[in-house]
Amino acid sequence: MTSVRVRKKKHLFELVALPCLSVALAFAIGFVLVWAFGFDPFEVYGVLLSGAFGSVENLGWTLQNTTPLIFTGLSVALAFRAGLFNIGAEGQLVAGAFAAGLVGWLVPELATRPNLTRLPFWKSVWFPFGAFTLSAWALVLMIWVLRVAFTDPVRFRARLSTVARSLVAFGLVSILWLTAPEILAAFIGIAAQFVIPLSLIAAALAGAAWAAIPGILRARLGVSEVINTIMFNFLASYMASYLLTTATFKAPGSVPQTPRIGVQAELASLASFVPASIQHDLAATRLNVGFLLGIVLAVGVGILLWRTTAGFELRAVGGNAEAARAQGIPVGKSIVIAMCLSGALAGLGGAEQVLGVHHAFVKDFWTGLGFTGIAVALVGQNHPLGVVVSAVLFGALQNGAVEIDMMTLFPRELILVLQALIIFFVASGSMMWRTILPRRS
Amino acid sequence: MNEILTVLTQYTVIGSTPLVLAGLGGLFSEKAGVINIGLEGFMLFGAFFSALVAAKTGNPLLALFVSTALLTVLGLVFAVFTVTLKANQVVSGVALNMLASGLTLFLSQVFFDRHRSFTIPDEAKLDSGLFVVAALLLVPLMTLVLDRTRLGLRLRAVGENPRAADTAGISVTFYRYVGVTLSGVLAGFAGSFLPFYSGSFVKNMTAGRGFIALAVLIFGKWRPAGVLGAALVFGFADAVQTLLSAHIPSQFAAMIPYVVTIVILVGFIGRAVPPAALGLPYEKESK
Repeated sequence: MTSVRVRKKKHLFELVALPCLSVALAFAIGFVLVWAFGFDPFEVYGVLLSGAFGSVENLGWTLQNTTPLIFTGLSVALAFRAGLFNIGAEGQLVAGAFAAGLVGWLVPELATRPNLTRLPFWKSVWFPFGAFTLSAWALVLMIWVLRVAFTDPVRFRARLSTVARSLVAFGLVSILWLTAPEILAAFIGIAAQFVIPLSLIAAALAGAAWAAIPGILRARLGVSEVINTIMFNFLASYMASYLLTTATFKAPGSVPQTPRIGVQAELASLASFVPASIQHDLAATRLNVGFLLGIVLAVGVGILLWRTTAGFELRAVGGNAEAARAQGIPVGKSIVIAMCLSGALAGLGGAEQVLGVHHAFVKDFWTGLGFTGIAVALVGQNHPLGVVVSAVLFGALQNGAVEIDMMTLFPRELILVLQALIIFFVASGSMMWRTILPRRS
Repeated sequence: MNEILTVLTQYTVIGSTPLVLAGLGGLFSEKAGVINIGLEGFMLFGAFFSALVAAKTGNPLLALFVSTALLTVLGLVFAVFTVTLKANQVVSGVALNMLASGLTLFLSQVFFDRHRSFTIPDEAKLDSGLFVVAALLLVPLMTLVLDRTRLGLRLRAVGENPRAADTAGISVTFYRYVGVTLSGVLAGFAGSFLPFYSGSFVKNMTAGRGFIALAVLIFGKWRPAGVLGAALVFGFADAVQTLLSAHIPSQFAAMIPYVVTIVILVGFIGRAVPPAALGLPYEKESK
């Protein structure tokens, strides 16, 4: 009995001490590095510290930088728990950000326009595209039905309900497609009222969809998600860059970005929720309610992982996929669900950036957010609470880096080096401490 | 038409060369049972160090020498983490890539007055033909080493069945160190090709080639000759991209190598058998 309790305590010690010691060790090496290149380490670290926490405004900037890292950190951590290494949080964040930018811009914009049903878009794009897609779908459906009916009548009779369901689905989609202009005209007013939730949903779905492809490839074919998610990062980034060169999506002007989102789609600044004495300082930053959303999601991920069946299955798959399969847990399904949830979290992070910080989908705002999310998740030991704490640490580092850039002649890339070192130490930590620390019997 | 073919061939060779070298590098470490996601980082380090020394001293051979020496050290460090400290190999690889990305930009600014890119003077450049020849020579050499030498046999043994190798008195740790270090050196050499060919070092200039080299490894079924063939396919995709970028939006052209990587991974994953102990740290049985 006692031994169990002791072990649990030690486990907690390792859980907290390991990341802390890793961060300290990385900072120590960084200290030597700064000194070795002839700079004053006390000055550089001083600027880093005061830049991150020195004033209410700087703290606001730090928390603004923290916010997207909570989302990407949770995204990576959730996937880790299911035994997946989602390096693609950055691509999923881009997909989500683009969807949020699109909804946040178009819904308020369209709500102000009369005669929505007579937009040239319907005739030139929507209906031709629909006709093509639906007829292709009908053709495939027909060939499949006929083939099964002729080659295997027994199986066909058994599958009749599937056929009927496909036909009903086909009919419904066709009707929706044809009446889309009217539906849009009827509901755009209401949609404009709820543009923030709609943007968030769109972002989560887009992120999930972008993550689902590597997830399905992993679950069905066993293709490692590691290389695939990296490739999907490149694809998302290039796709976004391309879309920002087209007349449809690029706002006029020299900056490659989409048109500004509607005012009602902007996430409120946190400045309006704090005491008047510090309100002015916070108002200078773009810290917004997205930060609170991040905290809520962290709690949500915790509940999902440790209080629901889906979460249990997810962790079982992450712990030992073979054992989970033997217990009757659908491993493939869990993997796809985990990837989708992971992608949705990253996508929501993109929405926070677009709706709360940039107020438009701006090219390249995403650089490094996904990769830093990996560091955040590892230092946070893949625990939602740990993720939030370590996101603040990395948010502070990023904000401090900006300050280092402005105030000293020292390159800001120091923080990338620190991040990498921290990952190395956390990943190898338990073994390292076991070697260094004297073994207790 | 003939002209297009000539250009296409030329670009294919240029595009494949770093992939062959990095792929062979990946082969060394993966045959020994260590996944090397850090190929990308090793390549970037190689590109940076050789460009740095070449630009500062004007001596390309010295540049190659210094780069190789430094990559040996980095390879050993990576081995300390992945083999001795048994850190998750994929996580360590990602950390190495981040370190490469950060440290090269950091050092570039320290040595070049806060510039994140710099050029190499023409007289300090190494002929790219050298790298092509080296890649072509290394393929049969690697086959020979892996299939016919004691080193190759032992490398494969610790990657396939470390317990059996250990029982037979082969040091798993030693041969994994050898595999990982050689992997870093070769990937660094592959990276050196990039600045010598283009004449400059730019931010994150490897652009995912290290990851594509991992796909090359899978497509090439973890065999040197296979790596050569697979690298040619990816090099061809790269050449097509260069040719098409004048005619279609450049962003779409730029996506081609990545799309090809995904398609090939999906198509070939089940048919290639990785070394049996790939990715598993070796734990000696405790008494």
